[in-house]
Amino acid sequence: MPPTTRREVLAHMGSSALTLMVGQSSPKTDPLARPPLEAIALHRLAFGPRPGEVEALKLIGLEKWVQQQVKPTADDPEVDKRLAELKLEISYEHEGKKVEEQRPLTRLNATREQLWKLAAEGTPYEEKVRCVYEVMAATYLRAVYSKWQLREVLVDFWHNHFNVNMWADDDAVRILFPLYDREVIRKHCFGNFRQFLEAVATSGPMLVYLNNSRSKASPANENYARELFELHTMGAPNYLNHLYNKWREVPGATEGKAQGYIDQDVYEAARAFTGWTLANGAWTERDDSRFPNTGEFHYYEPWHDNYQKRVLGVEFEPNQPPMADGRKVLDLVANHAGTARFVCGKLIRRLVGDEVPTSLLDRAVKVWMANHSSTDQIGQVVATIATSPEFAATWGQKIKRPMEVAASFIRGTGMEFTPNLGMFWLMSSMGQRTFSYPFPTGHPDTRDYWLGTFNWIQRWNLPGGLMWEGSKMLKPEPPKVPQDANSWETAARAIVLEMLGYSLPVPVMTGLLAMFREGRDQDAFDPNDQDLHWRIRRLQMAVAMTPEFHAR
Amino acid sequence: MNLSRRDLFVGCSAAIAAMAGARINGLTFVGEDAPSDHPILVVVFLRGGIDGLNLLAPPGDKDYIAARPTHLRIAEDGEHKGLEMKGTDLRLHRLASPIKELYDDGKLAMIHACGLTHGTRSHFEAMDLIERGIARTEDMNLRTGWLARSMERLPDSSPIPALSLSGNMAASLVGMPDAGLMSSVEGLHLWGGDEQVKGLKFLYGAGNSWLHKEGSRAIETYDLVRARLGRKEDGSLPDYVPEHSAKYPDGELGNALRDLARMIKAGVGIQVGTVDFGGWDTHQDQMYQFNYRLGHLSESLMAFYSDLTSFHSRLNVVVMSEFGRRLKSNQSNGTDHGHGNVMMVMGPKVVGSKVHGRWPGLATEQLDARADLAVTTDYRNVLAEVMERGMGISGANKLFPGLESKPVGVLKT
Repeated sequence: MPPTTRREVLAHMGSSALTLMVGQSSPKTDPLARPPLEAIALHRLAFGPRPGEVEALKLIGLEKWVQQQVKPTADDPEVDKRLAELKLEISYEHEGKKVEEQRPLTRLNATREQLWKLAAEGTPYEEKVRCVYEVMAATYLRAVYSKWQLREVLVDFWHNHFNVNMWADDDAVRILFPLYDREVIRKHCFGNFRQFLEAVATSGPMLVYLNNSRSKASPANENYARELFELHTMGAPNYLNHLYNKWREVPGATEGKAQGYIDQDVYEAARAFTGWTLANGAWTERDDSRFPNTGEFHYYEPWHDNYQKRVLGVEFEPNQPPMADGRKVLDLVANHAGTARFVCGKLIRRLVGDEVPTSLLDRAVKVWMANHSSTDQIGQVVATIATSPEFAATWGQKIKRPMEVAASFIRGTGMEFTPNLGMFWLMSSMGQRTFSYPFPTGHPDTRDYWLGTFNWIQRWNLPGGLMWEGSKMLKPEPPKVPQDANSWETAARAIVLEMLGYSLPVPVMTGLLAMFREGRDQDAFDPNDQDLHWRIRRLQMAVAMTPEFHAR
Repeated sequence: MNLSRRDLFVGCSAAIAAMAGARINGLTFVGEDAPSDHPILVVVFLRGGIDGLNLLAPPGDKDYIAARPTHLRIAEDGEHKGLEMKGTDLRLHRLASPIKELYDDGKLAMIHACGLTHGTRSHFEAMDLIERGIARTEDMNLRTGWLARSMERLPDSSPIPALSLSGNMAASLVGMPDAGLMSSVEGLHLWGGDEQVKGLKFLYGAGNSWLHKEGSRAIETYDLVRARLGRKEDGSLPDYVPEHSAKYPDGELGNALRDLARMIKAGVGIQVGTVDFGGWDTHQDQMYQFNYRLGHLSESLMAFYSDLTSFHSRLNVVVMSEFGRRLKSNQSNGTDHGHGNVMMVMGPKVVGSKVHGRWPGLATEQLDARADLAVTTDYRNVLAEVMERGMGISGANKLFPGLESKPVGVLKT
């Protein structure tokens, strides 16, 4: 008998081909105990609770908190202060000149003009990639300290949804990355999806990453157009190419309302986006002229395919005004019901759990469609999801991503955090590649991806990796002894509550408590004992290793 | 407060273990022993585009001589005299004598003018295509690496069927959730050692949720791998002694291959291993960088192959890069991105002592885009042959979308 292949084993287990062994190994498991709603919310709509936040959220109520969070203001003093004080190392040698300094963030808030100066010939690579590193450091810092936690969660979501790999083979991606983060992702994360799409489509990093900046008639480069349909809007569930090979056969197409898309739509859409490029000073390859050299979006008419097109059954007349063809495609896909379902489904998978409840999806889609021209369309959808009964009823379907593990550990322990690039490597070793996932899909958002043995080992090492002096990310300050702690037990309980927002099961707590007061009398508790400090840190690390700490 | 990371962990875990006491119950064992006779594939990826025309080339070709200064080419005589090779007029770079030895022994085959049929000269795009195993940007919507897809067709083995020895998971393995990733054997390490393992067993044995079970599984795998790697009295890893007097050179690839050999010998089910060796993007002052790296590559491959002598009947090794470099060198004593390149394959079925593929010639009209070595062998046909004949996957060309089955003859059937 031939050896059993992995695929056969998996098929036998009733799993899809690539959903491998992990997550499938135990047919019978118990659900994790569901914590109070405030704890659920802070673990899924934020990067974990900070001490006192569960109580604060209880006071204000989830509904009101969410309504505030989806309309963030500029007020974020703690982040402002820390970003202003943050210095990141830069070191390189260029043409005999040695640069080695701790430098404040000069690129994060720079204008396009300032950033684009780096595109000049002779600029050292390290100065260019620095633009992304600053965004990374700010991202880690905000995950821990921003009062607009839900925005940080959404920013991470959209960076994955509209993934751009920072290592793409063109410095423009790196140089313009602060703008991509600030003016595209952050600006629109609760905004209007149609506007968001156009901001992405006209952004330098996406134009370059998915090659539309080089797309000209003809043949057009299809890379961007294909991902626009498959990843950014309608999604693979609406790709009907295997069912229909003629556009007329697609249900609804002859009335201009195609229910799904096929390859012909991708080809035609690619033609619609020809000429959407980047003003990078390159030769136009047409005559003896160059593009402007500003780093801005540039529409170049001579590259545009002006003939008639048909997308999703809708006819495009020839010779449209500048950008009209591409914008019409964006209108069609942004307002398509398939897009609503696909993107809402992804949002629910991120904010609720791997199994998307149909009832909630239906309601989210309704809100999405009803608000297709509202400026707060996405915010309304997010609020619908976050305040739903399905949200409150779901716990522990997902495992925290590495970023969530790190940020929630720092938040829950109240340690002083100063990010550096070590964080990027720590995250990478656990499979989360900040701004550098190798495929345009972004990180998979189902739990299987994070469950390899090596990933677990790094998870368990992470608190130590952060607290280790060499990482220079956490200050080795003495921890705060919880207020009102008057015994080993009350202190331990308070520390667990601060980190999790809920209590651990009794046997685990008993074990942790024994460890906490190891070698000491039950009655001999002194909140001013210096010895208590390292005992608290030790307890916090142990809590961070519990399965409960990794649930979301 | 100034505790080292180790202090924190050791203290922490020892105490958890102490309090856990009898509660640590015997968990079921995750992995039965891996089948001991499965074939193994190791892929060495030379990142940056190795200059194949300075590795294996026709020393007397007038177009070759005209295109490069002596220090960037293989010569018939003199300081840069290339090593003569059985069965071919091409010669090998003088610093690659370990490769010549493997080649002369019939263990290693080379394929020249091999690569992506797609015309890209971008590292990023080329690696992206190669690691997905595709040749056209139209197939970019394939979201899995070619090795991840291959794993589905290989026998089940546990606990670590595939291992990427690098800082980041090889993109060729993306799509396989239980592929292992480690930057070194030392990296497979819980800071608190055995005590921490006990503590974790307590924490993850205290419930029956999927998280408890998955965590327990990981702990058992860790335990198993560490046990297979052996331990000193203090619980740390013993020093590794390579077999057959293999001498790994100190450096990126030598270290990675040494660690991979160690993991393979540990018998933890590894069927596919990947390692990266970067720094081949030699646009300037190529000679120093290239010579150092080529020496390191050759010695590392030799050491790895000798060390794993007892695995020769089932060990396949592929050495590849994203593309070759331009025939004509540039003004900075370097070479720019090119096209066709050399691939190397080792294994029990390899038709060694032979340079496979069709040599397209270096006259301007024979070049790709009148500048670069043409591609006469699709790299995927080589990989498909390795997977089919070396790894036993039937119809392996189907792992690569749109690939027509075209035997190269690098491996015997």
